[in-house]
Amino acid sequence: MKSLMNVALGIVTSIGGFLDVGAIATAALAGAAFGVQMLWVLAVGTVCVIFLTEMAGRLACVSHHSLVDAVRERCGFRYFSFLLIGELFVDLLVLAAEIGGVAVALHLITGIDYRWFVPIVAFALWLLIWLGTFSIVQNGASLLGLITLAFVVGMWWMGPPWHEAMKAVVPSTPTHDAAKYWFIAVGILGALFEPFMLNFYASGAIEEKWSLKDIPMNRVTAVLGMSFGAVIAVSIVMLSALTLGPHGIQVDSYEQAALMMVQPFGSWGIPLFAACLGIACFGASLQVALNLAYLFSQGFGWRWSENLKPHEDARFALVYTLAIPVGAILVMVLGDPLQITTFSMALNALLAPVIVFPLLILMNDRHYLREYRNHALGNIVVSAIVIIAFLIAIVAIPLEVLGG
Amino acid sequence: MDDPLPLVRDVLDKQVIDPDGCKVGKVDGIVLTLRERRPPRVIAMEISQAVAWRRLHHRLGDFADWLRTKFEPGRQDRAPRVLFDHFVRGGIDVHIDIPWKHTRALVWEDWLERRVIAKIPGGRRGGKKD
Repeated sequence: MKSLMNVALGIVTSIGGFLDVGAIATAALAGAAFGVQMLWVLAVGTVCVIFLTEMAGRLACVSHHSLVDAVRERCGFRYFSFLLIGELFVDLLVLAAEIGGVAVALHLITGIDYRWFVPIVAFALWLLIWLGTFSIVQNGASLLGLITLAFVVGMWWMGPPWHEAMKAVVPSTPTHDAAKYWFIAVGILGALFEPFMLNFYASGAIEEKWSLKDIPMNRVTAVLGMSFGAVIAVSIVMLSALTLGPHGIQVDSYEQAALMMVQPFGSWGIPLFAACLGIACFGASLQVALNLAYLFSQGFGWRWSENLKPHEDARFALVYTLAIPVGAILVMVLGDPLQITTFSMALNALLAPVIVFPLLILMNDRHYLREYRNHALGNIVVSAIVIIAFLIAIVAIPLEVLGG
Repeated sequence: MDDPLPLVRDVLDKQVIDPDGCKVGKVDGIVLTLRERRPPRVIAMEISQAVAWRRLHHRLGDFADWLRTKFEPGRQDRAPRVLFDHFVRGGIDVHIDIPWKHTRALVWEDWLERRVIAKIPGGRRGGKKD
């Protein structure tokens, strides 16, 4: 039973990590503009995220310390303060984008302006964290998140071009619109390397009291959970390539992205897309809000656990109680959730090396990992991720600014 | 002679845990006394964000300390300290032999619990396990 719970943790993490507003939008955009050609970006990103997630989980299993906890302890307060400020800023923007995503999903179903739903969504989010336990948050989001399999069903229904898709796993260069191609590639990777996901996963492992005997299960969880997210993201690319691309529909709003479900599901398409978007974003917003509380509590050594009553870890409860309204206000003030997402994805890419580089140090530290330290392959992959993430940071922001 | 204790590696910035396993805070600073012709002596561990921010820049520390002395419940002149006599062992966590209640490190936690969180519906009960 506990093993199944662990896999559920992987799946809920993948819903947040893979399938948030940014991932759905970039996958839809990639499919509409370049067909299945960009599947290799998802493949590379998925391999990287599997390695990173496995490492964050192994750190928690062996040392019983989360990533933020260990970064403060191993790299000192000066380094932690950069991480704290950077992640606070980025996580608040991502939280705003996710709350906005849920509100937009409700708008797609009801036709009412999404802003009316923002306070309701924010309150529901806070109430669930305030009253719920980690298991309720984790299992609820996992179970509801299975609705995103609708993208897989839709792709299957449309008859995917398997031969082309297999060929697209090999990296290729674009035949047209090179700048747009690389911008989308950067966007997909930026959406995958969300720093909050790694610390949430490690914190979840501690909440669930993982230990050395859970290391093999951690590996299975990382692979299965992230692969689940990847399958859904690949399905969105293919579905978009089959339905939007041939009609010349460009995805620059959720309404346009939702059209991908109309062909396979008819009149149920839009509500189904809205349900998938809303649930994926709600799952992600739970993770981001909790991660903000984990960030402060672990960094400053406060009591923390989503399983404690709020009065038992008052400062932990206060952080998410303040963060959620701030996120909601940001959506109302900044406007279009899709634009907030695009901006926060670029910042995610900028922040990724700040969290990945100390992870590499920790995974080779015998005080934390003992005999469970990284092998050469893990080090090489994580080093490659640091370089990729750094390049993403350099490329993404000018492209985003120049591309408007 | 006792084994040397690497203070920066095994004490500074580490999580402080009391005998009941409760989290007390991080070791934000270490207090040393200088002695003539003898090595410095470790007096205490400080658990205070003002001390941590001072390590970044003295003005940040001054500001955080001003906030602390102005607003901290039961205002005290000095940041919370745990005497080094209570140090049990270091490593990736620092274990001490006195309960958190005797450290003054959780005054804000107590104040928030009583004055803010407990007054929000569900703050004391909730559906959560102990």
